[in-house]
Amino acid sequence: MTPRATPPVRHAFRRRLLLGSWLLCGLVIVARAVMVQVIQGPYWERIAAAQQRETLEVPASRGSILDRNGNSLASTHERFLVGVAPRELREDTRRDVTALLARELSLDSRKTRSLQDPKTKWVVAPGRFTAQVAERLRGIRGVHLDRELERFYPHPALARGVLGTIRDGTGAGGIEGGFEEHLRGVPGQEIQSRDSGGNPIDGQSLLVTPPTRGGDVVLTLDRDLQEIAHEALTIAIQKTGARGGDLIVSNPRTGEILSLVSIVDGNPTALSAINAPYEPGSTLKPFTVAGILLHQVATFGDSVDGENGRWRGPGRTLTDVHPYGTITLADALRVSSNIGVAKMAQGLSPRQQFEILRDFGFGSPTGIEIPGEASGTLSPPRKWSLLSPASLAIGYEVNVTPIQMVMAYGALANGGKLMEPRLVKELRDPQGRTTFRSEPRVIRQVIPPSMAQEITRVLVDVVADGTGTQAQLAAFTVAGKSGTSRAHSGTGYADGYYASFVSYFPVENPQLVVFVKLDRPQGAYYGGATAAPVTRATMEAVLAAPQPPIDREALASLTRQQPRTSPLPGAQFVSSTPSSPSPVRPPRTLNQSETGALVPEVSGLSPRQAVRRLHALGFRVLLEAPGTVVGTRPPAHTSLAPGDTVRIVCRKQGNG
Amino acid sequence: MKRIAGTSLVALAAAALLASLSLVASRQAKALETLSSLEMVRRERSLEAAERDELQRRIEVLEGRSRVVAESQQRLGLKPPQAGEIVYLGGEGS
Repeated sequence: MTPRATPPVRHAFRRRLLLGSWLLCGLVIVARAVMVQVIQGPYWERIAAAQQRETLEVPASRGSILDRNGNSLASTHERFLVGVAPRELREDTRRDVTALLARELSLDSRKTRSLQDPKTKWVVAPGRFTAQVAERLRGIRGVHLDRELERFYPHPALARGVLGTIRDGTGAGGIEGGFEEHLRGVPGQEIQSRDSGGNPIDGQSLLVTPPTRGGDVVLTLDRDLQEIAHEALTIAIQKTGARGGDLIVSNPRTGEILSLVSIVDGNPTALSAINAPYEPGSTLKPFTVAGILLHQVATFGDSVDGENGRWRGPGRTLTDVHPYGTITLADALRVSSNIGVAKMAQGLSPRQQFEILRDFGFGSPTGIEIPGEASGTLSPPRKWSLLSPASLAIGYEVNVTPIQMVMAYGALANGGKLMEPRLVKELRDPQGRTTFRSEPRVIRQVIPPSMAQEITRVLVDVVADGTGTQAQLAAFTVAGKSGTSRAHSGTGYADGYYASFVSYFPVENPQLVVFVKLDRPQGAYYGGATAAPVTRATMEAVLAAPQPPIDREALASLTRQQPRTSPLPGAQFVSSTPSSPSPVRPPRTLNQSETGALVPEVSGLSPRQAVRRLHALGFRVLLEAPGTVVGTRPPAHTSLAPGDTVRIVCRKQGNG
Repeated sequence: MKRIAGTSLVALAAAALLASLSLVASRQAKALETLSSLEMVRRERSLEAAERDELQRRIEVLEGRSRVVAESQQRLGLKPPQAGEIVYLGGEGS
């Protein structure tokens, strides 16, 4: 081992200076590194992360709105916007890709040509495309897919007012707006990697928090009934030239709204049944009469002078369409005499008159689960003028909404119990578990059940031989009341009338309340002539529906109980005035002189075949009980007029 | 001896560094691969859900009253019965 040679000590100062400089530079670099990495580290990390990664919000799928049977009325679907950068397309596959895009995206020739031009920067395909289409285009260079969630209404015109809409991703109006919190869900978070140019790197995204889908809302509406109501109202509007109308069907026992349609100037997204009060006219009279009966001012048998159709009352002159002499309260309601009802109502104090209308729910919102419900107007007695009592008695100076009217008639049908309307049946969480179920709720017992039944009997007569005959059903008894009132605009009365008809059936055990209102029908404008036929058309379609929300067993038992020549047993409102028509429909006799057709021999046929054969001849048919047909009453070969009733006599099978 | 030991130490350190870098790179690659598979599964799921929704919608349309009424009228000459033509048969046998 040779000892290392000692370097010559020359320019020692220079070397030290150089070394010191190097060390200083090193120290500066280290210090700067510490500064950047440690002290400013978080800041630079944020900057770098922002350049390379982006945190994106993943929108949550909105919950569905379903009808009572689980049919979708509104749902959210994934859709894709497709953009193409023609200059990014590969030249060797441009022709094939263009053909594929034109086929999948249904592009017109202009768009297709622009795809073939490499100078074109960007082409957006019109419309939104399904995930299947997007999948077929995924991975093609130059094709860019942008996912979005689209609200979808499978039946675009159906219940749109009730459902509401989506504006800027948020529910607006109707159920969409009212249940925004429940429906919208919770958005998730995703981190997307980006290249140096800031473009997202395909496949390098990390879902940090998955989005939580919104909950579902199950409505009490029935899709088929909604369709029936929509169709009936649309046809009526076309036929009568009305500007619009409302049609509501509800269950009086539960307060469930089974269908709700409003059309205003051809717009089916209106919600005038909830938010547009109107003066109801004669459809309010049953409630005035309820007050008269409740406060024992008069009974149905009590009479009043009908003044031959013209009466100068306190503050105003009232007229009737047909002049009447002395008229009972029952008759006054049946024939819709303004004078009769207004004169009888004079026995009520303003407080009593106000309270009975208020107790039936007028003047305050019903509480239906849709935002924007109007309360209508029912002024307290201190604001009344001299003519207010008479006006109110016949449905003027009071504004009500169709939904209030439906619930009030529901109370008459439901033994005097006013129910809260129910439009939402259930709320479900994203996993489909029920988190809320609405139950029928009685608001109050407005009148005793016996009184409700008494009023019902008169309303049956209204349909049997009063102003509502066009709402009659062949097999079931209907109670109802027509109304015709002056239409109003923002400033006062407008030209034209509101024609309305409210009814419920079958009266023995009411299952449906049907409200129809037409806004300014042209030509015949009386409620009984324009709205009542819509009621019948709706009821007939409901009865014929495959799965209507009615108790068919109960209806079947009613059919077997018939025939009933009087509307209801015990309807004894006999007019004291011979000149006025009897409020009780006289038994329809089988008039031999009306030689329409002979009753055919139907013995031995099945009940269905027998019924069909009799219907074909225009007879009303009553089936006593299921079994083998053994004859008819009246017997075969009797001459009857069309519309007369034939009872089918059956023998129970197995009884010998 | 000292020089050899030092060289080995440096080589060992270099090998350890290389190994750990390879491990990190391999884990990163595997993570990206998994992410890619996850994304594919998610896409497939979304595709299936879209197909299910579309089928459900078609079923609802086909079962809908408007379609049934129109088709039965066109194909079979049927019409919705009027109230007088409907007979409810309750009890046994109905």
